[in-house]
Order: sequence, then C-alpha cells, then structure tokens
Amino acid sequence: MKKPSAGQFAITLVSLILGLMLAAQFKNVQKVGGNVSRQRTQELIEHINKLEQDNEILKNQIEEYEDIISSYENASKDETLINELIKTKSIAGLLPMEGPGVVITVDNLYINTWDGEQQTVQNVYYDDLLRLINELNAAGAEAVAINNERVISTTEIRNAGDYIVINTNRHSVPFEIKAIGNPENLEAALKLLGGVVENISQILDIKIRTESKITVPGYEGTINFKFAQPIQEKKS
Amino acid sequence: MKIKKELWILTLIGVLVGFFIVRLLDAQHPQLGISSMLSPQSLDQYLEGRSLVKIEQYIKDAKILEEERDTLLEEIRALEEIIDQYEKEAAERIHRGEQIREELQKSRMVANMIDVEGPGIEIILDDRKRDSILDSDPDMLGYYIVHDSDLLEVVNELRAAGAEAIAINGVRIIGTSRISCGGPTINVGKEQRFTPPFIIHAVGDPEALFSYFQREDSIYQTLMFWGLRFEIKKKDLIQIPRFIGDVEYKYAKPIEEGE
Repeated sequence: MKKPSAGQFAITLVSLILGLMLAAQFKNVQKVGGNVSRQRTQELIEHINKLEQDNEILKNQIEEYEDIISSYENASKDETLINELIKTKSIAGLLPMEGPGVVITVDNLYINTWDGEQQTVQNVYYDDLLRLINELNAAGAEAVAINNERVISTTEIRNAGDYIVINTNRHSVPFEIKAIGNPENLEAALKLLGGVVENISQILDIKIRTESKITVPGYEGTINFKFAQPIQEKKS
Repeated sequence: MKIKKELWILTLIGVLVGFFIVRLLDAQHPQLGISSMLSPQSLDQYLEGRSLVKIEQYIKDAKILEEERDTLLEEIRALEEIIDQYEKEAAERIHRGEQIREELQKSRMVANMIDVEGPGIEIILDDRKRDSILDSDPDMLGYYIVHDSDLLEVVNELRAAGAEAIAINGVRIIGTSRISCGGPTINVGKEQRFTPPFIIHAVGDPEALFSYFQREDSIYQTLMFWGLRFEIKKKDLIQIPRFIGDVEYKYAKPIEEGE
C-alpha cells in the first residue's frame, strides 16, 4: 500500500505545478489582451497595408530605373539625359502642362443694401482657397494653379492685409483656380453635398466649369535650398 | 527511500516535459493557441489569447515587409549610382552638359525625389488628454481633437515660414498631397491613414519656422487655447525621406518650351 500512495503523491504534484505554470502563462496573456489589442491590431494592419503599397511603388521605381539604364546603354545617351530632365521638371512642377480639367472662379459675393449700394458679404480668405486646393488634390488633380501661380510642394496660401500671398506674390479677387485631371471627378468632388463648395458658396461667388483643354503654367519663382541637403550615402 | 527518490526525478521530468510540450506547440503552431486553450478559463479569454497570437503574426508580417522594403531601397540606391555614372558620361559629351546635369539634380530636389537632411523643427500634435474639462461637456469634444484641417493649416504655415521639405509621420508632403478626414483617422497622401499623435518634420531655418507659430493668427494659438498637445522643438538635424508614390500623369502633358 505504500508504493501506490507515493506515486499518487508524485502525480498530484506534477499536475499541480503544471496547473500553476499554465495559470501564470495565462496571466501574461490577459495583461496584453483586450481593448489594447484591438487598437494595436488596427494599427498593425494599417502599417502592413502601407508597407505593401510602398513596396509595390518601389518595385515600379526599380523597373523605371532599369528602363533608363537600358536606354543609356542602347539608345542615345544625350537624348536619355534630356528626357530625364523633362520628366523630372514636370514632376517638380517647373514645366507648363496642358490637359482637360476644371476652372474655378472665386469672387466676392455682393448684396444690395436698402439704399441701393453694393456690399460684400465676406472677403475671400486664404482658408477657402486652401480647402479648394486640398479637395482638388484628393480628387486626383495632376497640376493646379491659382491666378497662374503653380501649386508645388512649397506653395503657401496666406492672408497678408487685404491680399492673399501665394508663392510669395500678392493676389486679390477674383481668383481663378485651374486644375488638370479627370474633369468629371474633379467637378463631382467639388460639388459634393455638404462639401467645400457648398459651404463656401454661402458667402462667396463661386463658379465651376469643365474644359477639355486648359494650360497650367510652370512654377516661376526661384528655389534655393539653403537648409535642406541631399543625404549622402555612406560608401562602405 | 530508493523508490521515493526515483519518483521525485520522474515528477521533475514530467513537469519539464509538460512545460516544453506546451511551449513547443505554442511556438510552432501559434494559430492554435494551445496555451490559452489548455487553461481552465472562459471562452472569452481564450479568444483574447487568440487575438494576441494574431498580433504576433502581424508583427512578423510587418517585419518581413520592412526587410523587403529595405532591400528594395538598397537596390534603388545601387541603380541610382549607375544612372548617376551615365549622366556624368552623357554630360561630358553634350554642349552645356554639366549645366543640364545640375538642373536635373535641382529639379529632383524640387520634385521631392531625394532624401534630405538639415536643421529644422519637429512638431508633435495630439488630442487633448482626458481630463475633467473634456469629460464635462461631450458636445464640445470636436474642439479637443486634431482635425484634418488643423494638419492642413500647420503644413500651410510651415510652407509660409519657408520650410524646404515637410513630412507627416514620415510621409513626404508634395504639392498634390491631400490631407483629409477618414473618420477616426486622417489620410495623408493617397492611401496612408494615421491616428494621433502626429509627428511633423520640417527642414528650414529653425528660428523662422518656430517663430511663425508664435504669431497671433497661427493655428498654434487656437489649438493651445483648446488644450491640445502642440509641441515645437528646434532641431539641428532633421531627416526627411523622399516621396514614395506614383506620380502618374494621365491627363496632364508637359508643354515643352522653346523647341
């Protein structure tokens, strides 16, 4: 009778310790789980999606570079260099562009006062233009200009007294925004119910028309990089 | 006495084996969630354990994709060096070739096609922290959180202050970047969605960039009034990556000047 009781004791002990371990392990699981894990999962999914997109774009970029290299090897070196320059300048917004798109005019809205005089409801504020440009960008505009100021990555739109400063130049009403892109998409995005134009049209005179061919000028200002330098790769 | 000693060893082995079986199964088949399944807890907690396993899988996936991106970037840099060599060769042969090459380099900077570094500022923008004021009036919640329009204003002010390169959460901002609302997230660029906090980097004169936000009509004053987090730090060195995205012209065509 002595032997089996010792065995039973051992087995009891084994299961006890195993149970403890599992419990300890489970406690860890519990700590990180729950609400936090849902948010974390969401963030991770976004991160993964972005990485997948980036990698796709980078692969396209590699193909493009390979094309350029083969063009240097097999075609005219001079022509390839010039083509590269034209392409880069158009991405930079330094070349005039043409294509279908929309033209938006923004002017003050006038109302007649009781004694027959005209009065503006509200002046055009930089915000109105900023929002219109952002909306056009969201709708896939490829080249945008306000009063022939090409919008590039450094373009600011700010009030300065009675003027609005764009690309460091002063402008005032009427404003004409030209955007090249799919005319239907651009117009639809602007005219969305509750969208930017509906809001602005309460206080400003705003007109939109689509055109089959418009011209957007290239950026005319001088660009000097005083602070930004290309990152030099460490040659190992 | 002898038998007892053997039993002790047996017990020890049993425990270790049991422990390792669980660990091994868990490591090799994380999707099974063995460790949480074996526990005597409720189904709810079992599912929580599963979601943790899912997170581990996502982290692994992300790591693989990050590694892939790094190799692709390396490949791109290698190709850029080859192209650079060809450009030099071509420039030597053409009339005003060196000028063309310089213009090309500068256009690439303007086109956001190059990683840049320099002095600048770092801005951290976040919703107001939960406190008694925020909790007291749920209707006012909209004033206490970062909106897409706020980011747009910050970027516009940075441009006005002379920023030479701007990025939000590591995404380079270009002329056709959109910043729009996607419910709880804010979309920057084409498909990139971010939740607060937003980290905005700008290269330029740190003093000029910093002081622009001290103006009375700056978005900084408005957001500080509502108690949002808006930290601006001057930095000696800011690094901003190139724009990664398709710049495809389906509708716009360049007009070449002076044929």
